[in-house]
Amino acid sequence: MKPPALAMAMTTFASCVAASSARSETAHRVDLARLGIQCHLQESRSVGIQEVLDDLLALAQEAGTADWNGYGAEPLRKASLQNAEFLLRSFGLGAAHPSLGASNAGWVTMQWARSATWTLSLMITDDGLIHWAALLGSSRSSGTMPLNAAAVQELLKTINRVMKP
Amino acid sequence: MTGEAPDPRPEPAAAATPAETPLDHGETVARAVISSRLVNKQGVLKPELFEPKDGTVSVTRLRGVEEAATWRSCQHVVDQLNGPGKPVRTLYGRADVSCGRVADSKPGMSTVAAPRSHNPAHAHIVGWPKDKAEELLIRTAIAAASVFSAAPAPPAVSSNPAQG
Repeated sequence: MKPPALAMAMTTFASCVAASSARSETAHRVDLARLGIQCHLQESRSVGIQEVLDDLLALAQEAGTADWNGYGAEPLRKASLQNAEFLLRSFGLGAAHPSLGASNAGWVTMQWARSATWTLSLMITDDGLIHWAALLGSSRSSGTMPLNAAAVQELLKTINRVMKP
Repeated sequence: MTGEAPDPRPEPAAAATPAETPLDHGETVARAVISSRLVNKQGVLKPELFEPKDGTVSVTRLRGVEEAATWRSCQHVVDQLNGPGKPVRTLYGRADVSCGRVADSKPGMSTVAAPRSHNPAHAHIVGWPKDKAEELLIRTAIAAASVFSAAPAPPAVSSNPAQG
């Protein structure tokens, strides 16, 4: 089984190649140059988040079996891992990396923290939901939302608020 | 295993409280930290530390209990989890939180006595909501109100036979 990061990289590469296959020779060369830049940028992004993707892979191994925490936890769910990888890649370069963990239900957890009272914590379910909770100084909020582009933008705003005073 | 003889002192004050009795808000309880993933790089305790199982979170009371006995209770948690064929777990430390902060985290949340034969000071944090996001917020708030203490280093093993 391929690690998620490798699988995603291969998918990216395959889509780059596929997009350039049905063109005229000239257009093909132009596209290749453009796609080369795009692939390089995507690769740079991958390098930028490689540390946290590696940690996700380590987490998958640590919490991959039933009762991994000694308290009867479910093994980490594959769909939750894939959703977590998607979310991490969606944040792109520049976003602060979260501290990863796992819940009893087998969901990936993430936390961003500037201090104990400025934190964003979330759980990514295997059915594409994000349960989140934020401590923003003296205020607090929480909610559940589907994993989509709007959620990524909302989370990025909150991450920036939590991490940048 | 700590290898220590049973404590000959009288039962701690916490043992006198019947099960399910809510604890005084001035009391402090501790939760064993048995994974490095429960503390992030900033030293902030993570909400997974207080994730309930079957509606409760196990803690140990500190009032009337010697510090060494509290650490033995925490170590007992690790000893129970370790065993043949299981990954070796380590006691990293403990998170102390006042029962008042638990109660303040959400109406209905409380800490109640739940004595056990191996630990008369055992207690439960109860009152968890069913909504997962709400539960996460309460766990995050309790973690934020907790104070982490690193586990004491195990005693050095002497290589001098004369010291026995």
